[in-house]
Amino acid sequence: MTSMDSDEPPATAQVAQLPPSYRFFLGDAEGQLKSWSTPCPPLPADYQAQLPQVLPLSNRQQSHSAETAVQRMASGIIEGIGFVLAIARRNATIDVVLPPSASDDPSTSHATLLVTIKNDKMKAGLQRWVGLAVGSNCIYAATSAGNFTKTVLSQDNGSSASSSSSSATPRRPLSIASTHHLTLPEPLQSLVFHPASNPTSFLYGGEEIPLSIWNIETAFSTPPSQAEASDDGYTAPNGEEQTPAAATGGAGGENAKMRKRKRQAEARAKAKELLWGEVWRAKNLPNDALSLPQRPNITSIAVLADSEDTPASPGQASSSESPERSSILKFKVAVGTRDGLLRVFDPSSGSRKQVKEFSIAKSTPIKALVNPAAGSNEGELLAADGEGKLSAVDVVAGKLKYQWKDITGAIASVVALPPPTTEGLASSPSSSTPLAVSSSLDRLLRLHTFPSSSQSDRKKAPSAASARGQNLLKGFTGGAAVTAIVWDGAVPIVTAPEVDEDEEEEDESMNRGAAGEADEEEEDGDDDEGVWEAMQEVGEANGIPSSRSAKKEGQRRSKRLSAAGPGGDEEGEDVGDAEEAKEERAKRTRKAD
Amino acid sequence: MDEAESSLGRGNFKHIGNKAKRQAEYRKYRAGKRKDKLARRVAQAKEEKGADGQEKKRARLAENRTRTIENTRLENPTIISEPNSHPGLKPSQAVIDAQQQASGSSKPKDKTDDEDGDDGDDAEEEVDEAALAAEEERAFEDASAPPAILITTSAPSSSTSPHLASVNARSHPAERTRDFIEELLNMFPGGEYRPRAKAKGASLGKIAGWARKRGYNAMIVIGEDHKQPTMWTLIGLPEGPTAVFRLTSVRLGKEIGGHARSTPHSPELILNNFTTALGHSVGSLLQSLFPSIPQLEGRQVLTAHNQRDFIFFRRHRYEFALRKGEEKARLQEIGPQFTVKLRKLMPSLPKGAGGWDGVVDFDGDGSGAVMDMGGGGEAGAEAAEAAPKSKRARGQVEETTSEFTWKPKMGVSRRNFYL
Repeated sequence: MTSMDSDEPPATAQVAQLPPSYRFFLGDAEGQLKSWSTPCPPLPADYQAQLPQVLPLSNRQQSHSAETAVQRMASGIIEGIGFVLAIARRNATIDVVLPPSASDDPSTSHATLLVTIKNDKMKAGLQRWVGLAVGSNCIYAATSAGNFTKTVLSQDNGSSASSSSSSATPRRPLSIASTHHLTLPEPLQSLVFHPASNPTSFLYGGEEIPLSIWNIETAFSTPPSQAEASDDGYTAPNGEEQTPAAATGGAGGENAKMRKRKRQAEARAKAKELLWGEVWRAKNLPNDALSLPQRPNITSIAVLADSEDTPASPGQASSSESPERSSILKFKVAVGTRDGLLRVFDPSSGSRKQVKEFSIAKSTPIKALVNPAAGSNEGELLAADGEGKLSAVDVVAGKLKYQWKDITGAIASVVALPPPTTEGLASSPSSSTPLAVSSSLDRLLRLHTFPSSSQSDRKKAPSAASARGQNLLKGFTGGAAVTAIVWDGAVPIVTAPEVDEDEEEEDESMNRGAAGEADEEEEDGDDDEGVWEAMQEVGEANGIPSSRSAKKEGQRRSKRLSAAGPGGDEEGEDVGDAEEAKEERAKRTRKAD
Repeated sequence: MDEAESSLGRGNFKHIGNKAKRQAEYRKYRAGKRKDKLARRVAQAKEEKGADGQEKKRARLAENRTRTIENTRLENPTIISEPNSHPGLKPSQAVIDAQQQASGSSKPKDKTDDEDGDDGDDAEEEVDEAALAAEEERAFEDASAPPAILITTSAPSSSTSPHLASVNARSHPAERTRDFIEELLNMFPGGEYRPRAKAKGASLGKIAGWARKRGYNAMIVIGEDHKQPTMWTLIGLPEGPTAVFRLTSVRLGKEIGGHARSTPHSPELILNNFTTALGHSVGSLLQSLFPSIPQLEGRQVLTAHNQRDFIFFRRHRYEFALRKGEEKARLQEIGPQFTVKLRKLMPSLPKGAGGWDGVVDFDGDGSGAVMDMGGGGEAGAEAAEAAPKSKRARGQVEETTSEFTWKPKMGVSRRNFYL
């Protein structure tokens, strides 16, 4: 995508010349799919952000209209196909698309439409897509009317006329094998899947619907018969089942009243029961100062991944599900409300009330909550409201840390990115800060720094703990506002600037394959060692630095070997090059001494 | 020139304590400067009257460009087009390339459409032609028909006339606002005025929802403060953007000296200097208030001129006359004239509008289903039945995001413009 040269050298050499960059797929308000990339910071002085490039969908005529506006986008890996995008549009359709790889020629790159899923129950324009995720062989989607669908996809061996691809390498088209529905309470404002791709559970909430956590597998399995269900009683963990008071009077009118009260009590008890598939539900808020019921007013949800494995708490619930539930519920949830409050829930602690509640925005709704990239910015969240304020929130301390400046329009989508993996030892602090990319309705895409202040950093450099995020870059989207951004998943590899001859290729296909585990390992190491690596080496080649770099090399090697992919030839080369580079650097430091 | 100036000194006479002497020295310095400047300009004029004079003058003017605020505007990546009326920032190369690509790729599309259209026998072709002709006529009529605009005022405050009996009596708009609305009704050929009720008042979103249902194409709301019209809200109706402007410098036609009388012809539209993506959104919203095919025989033109984020509205009628052998346009202003500045742009209707099933009901009978716009007949019927049951239809979510909100700190740099 980013080509520094005007010539068109052969593909492999071209890939080698591209600077390491993050690649994104964008969906905009006119229904177009675009790709965009930003180089890793530090950005060159005169860098002008590129315009996103339109990726035409094969098998479909281009029709840009507000009807096909993209509402949600999700990415994931489907077995047998690879990295796909799911695009949920305003006209109640979901397109599953295979994007081009980074090494494709940008001028002719296009995305292959694999399958289109239509939701007949959804009223286009009146209801919107609220959650979307890609499973290993299916697509999960939810609308604001509580219509949850799991569409299982299968691959066709023969290519049918409607889904034949025109590209050189024929991809197997997908088809819809089966569709399963769930009816959730409505209207929903937000539905979030717990591991973002290939999810096992989902959470939802709405203005009148409290936070609820479901297990996907249980939800789609067949429930036991009605009689058993009523005996077992899938009760809420607090087990509040109100039994109606026994009737005392004998007159007809009293019986009617008693009957009504009984009916109401039964309804209340039923409402408190967990639905089939539901694992946990938050408690309703208490009445306010005027004894009026308070609505939960949930507008956005984010799951806070807890890095520490909390042991199963001494559970109050004694039902048979507690071991299952506690294994699922090992995470905290942050919920943003319509009034600018952030509530943190801890389902594994057994309490259905919020653990923390604090105000971020003064009575403006928190439209989006985004988790930072895995392994960085622990205890922090990105919160966006409808007026253009993007804030970094410290959940542990319970306050707003800072806001990024100069964002004019409402923020439609935010993605948090890990810092680029730095090879070599001379990594500047600016290239190791986590990043974030946001798109707003003022037609701009912005690249921000999202500095993490981990505990170790706070101790070593207290001033660094208050480092604010900066805007690095802003780029025009080219027309319509971008409503959804999806990151490629490939963390770019930045080499030390001195080593020009041995620039490594971006092993994106390999990275993507093991993105989940490998990135986390590396990020953990980076976080602690980033400060050290910023400092200049003084010691010998055999001291601490070399062992650390060897550990990193070992990680990288294991990552590459574990991910099956092309480019096996270059492994030996890369390792050898890195070792050469290390030796050269050691020589230079020795000379300096 | 330089020698003369250096001989005059630096113009700093603070070291002279004697006031009379100091003043005299300063006067001498200033006179010297003036003399030098005159000599220089006379020499320059003489040179430029001679041979190659025009070129020299052009070169001099090109070199000495006056620094203006428009000249020194801060870089804005969302600029799509160049300003019309003054030299200014051009779109970036990437944007120009993208536009060229888009226009280049649109041509082959037309060809494929033509190919697809050639189907069938002669008989079918004839029928198609007649249908096409009818469609074209309808399209022409639609494009020339003035869009229906609902004009109303903001929710009135009780302080307007506090001594009257009922709430509604107390809530009439002030005289100035009423006059302005009258002139607006002349300006917008499709405009209709409905007073805003205070008692049992509805929010703007609800009114927009009703107007959408009734088939209006746009809505204008005049906001009032201190008995003057101060806010102007434009709402594009089926889905459209809500733009809130601050309204200033309102001059009615009758206050403009030598003003012309307005006629009901649709004016031609001139939109100047709408350069950025936001500017184009606002410009297209203004376009939607008028028929796209103007009545040229009316010889009226409405100019919306954007400069430094202020949009100046003027209405003129023009006449071509021969003057000194050249045909020139003479203008006469029709009122009103006013200035607006964008305060907020929301891509949706105001809060409270709710969902719409696409059914338009022009007469308000509840007969419904006169014109289905993408919703589907069945869905419309169901919704019409279900609507009285639920106050807020299930699954509909309000989006109240704003595309642009003006904040005072945006004006601090004085070089940063958004339209």
